[in-house]
Amino acid sequence: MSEFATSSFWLALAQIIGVDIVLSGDNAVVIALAARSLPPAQQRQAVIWGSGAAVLMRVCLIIVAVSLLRLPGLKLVGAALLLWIAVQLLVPEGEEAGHGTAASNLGGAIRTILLADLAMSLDNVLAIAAVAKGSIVLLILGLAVSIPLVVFTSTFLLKVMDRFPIIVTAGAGLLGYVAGEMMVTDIFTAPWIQANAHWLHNALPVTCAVLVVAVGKFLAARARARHGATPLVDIAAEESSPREPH
Amino acid sequence: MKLLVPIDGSDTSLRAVDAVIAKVDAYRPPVEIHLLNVQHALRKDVGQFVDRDEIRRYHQDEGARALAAARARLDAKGIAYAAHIFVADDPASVVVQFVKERKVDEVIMGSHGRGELAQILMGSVAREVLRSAGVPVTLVS
Repeated sequence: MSEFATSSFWLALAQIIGVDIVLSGDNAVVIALAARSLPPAQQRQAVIWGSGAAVLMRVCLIIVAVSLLRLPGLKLVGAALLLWIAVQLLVPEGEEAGHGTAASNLGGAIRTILLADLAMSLDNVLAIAAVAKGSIVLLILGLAVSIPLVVFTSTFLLKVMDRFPIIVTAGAGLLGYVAGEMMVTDIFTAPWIQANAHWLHNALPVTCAVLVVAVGKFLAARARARHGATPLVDIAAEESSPREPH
Repeated sequence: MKLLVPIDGSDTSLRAVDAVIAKVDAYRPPVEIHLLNVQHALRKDVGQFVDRDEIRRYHQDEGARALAAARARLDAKGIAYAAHIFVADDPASVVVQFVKERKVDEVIMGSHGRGELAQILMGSVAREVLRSAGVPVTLVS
């Protein structure tokens, strides 16, 4: 396939792997944690069934995403969503709202994994569709990379990103860049840019990348200043306390 | 003397423990040693799907694992200590807050985390503690 020979193909593939890495961490950790309270034999089953269904769901979602992105104007909507997702990556948001409920059995764990994957793979699917720009090969490769990341990495990706925050910053910038690329190729904007402002083809993605990182860092600094006075909660002391009833 | 040793599970943080053990008799008694581990907070999305207790147990397990080697070294020498695990986005600010709230006299910590590469990429916790703790900070390399 001649598609493999071009440098833009490899660049797009690198981009896809990049967005897969930064957007799969949360998803993988949910799968790992949802199954944790089950007996070991059922843990494996929950992960296998949950992940299997999640794979199917991703394939369906990406087909929908690709067909939606062909409609005029929707690339702009997709780009706006991507920008939002990218900024969110950089802003710490105080975990443990604790809405989730403990899965006491196999069915419950699988349901949790499925619901979480439905919600959390949307950003990933959108990003893959955006980078692939209609190339089926890239779409398949994007999914092929993201699925094992979600299924097998468990908490590893999260730990790597905790240690190297620069990965998250780079990922957010990359998503901003992809969003910018999407804006200049929308059916509404493309003809005008082609005719009047060709330079936007390169300038807008770079601007979006810089903007995402700047806005994200600013919001993160603000959030940190606001959370500065939160009391320290030592969870080591509670290590042996019994589970709260539900 | 109240001593704080932040532990991230890395070799340098263990060398900080060794340094404390080596000179524990030199500190003015009674010596009180606190080990502290910070677990990075999970994102809100995760909290929407996973039970709160489950997340807490996960942090406890990971924190206990990070602290295990440091505890073993102190246990082996029969030195008493308290171990703490906190969940936060920013480890340095937890260390600084702990120092202020518990009136810690000195912080002994590794100068960098896991490896040289990490040091370049990580944004140094040690540097931030050094800047804001307001008490003597001993860096062990």
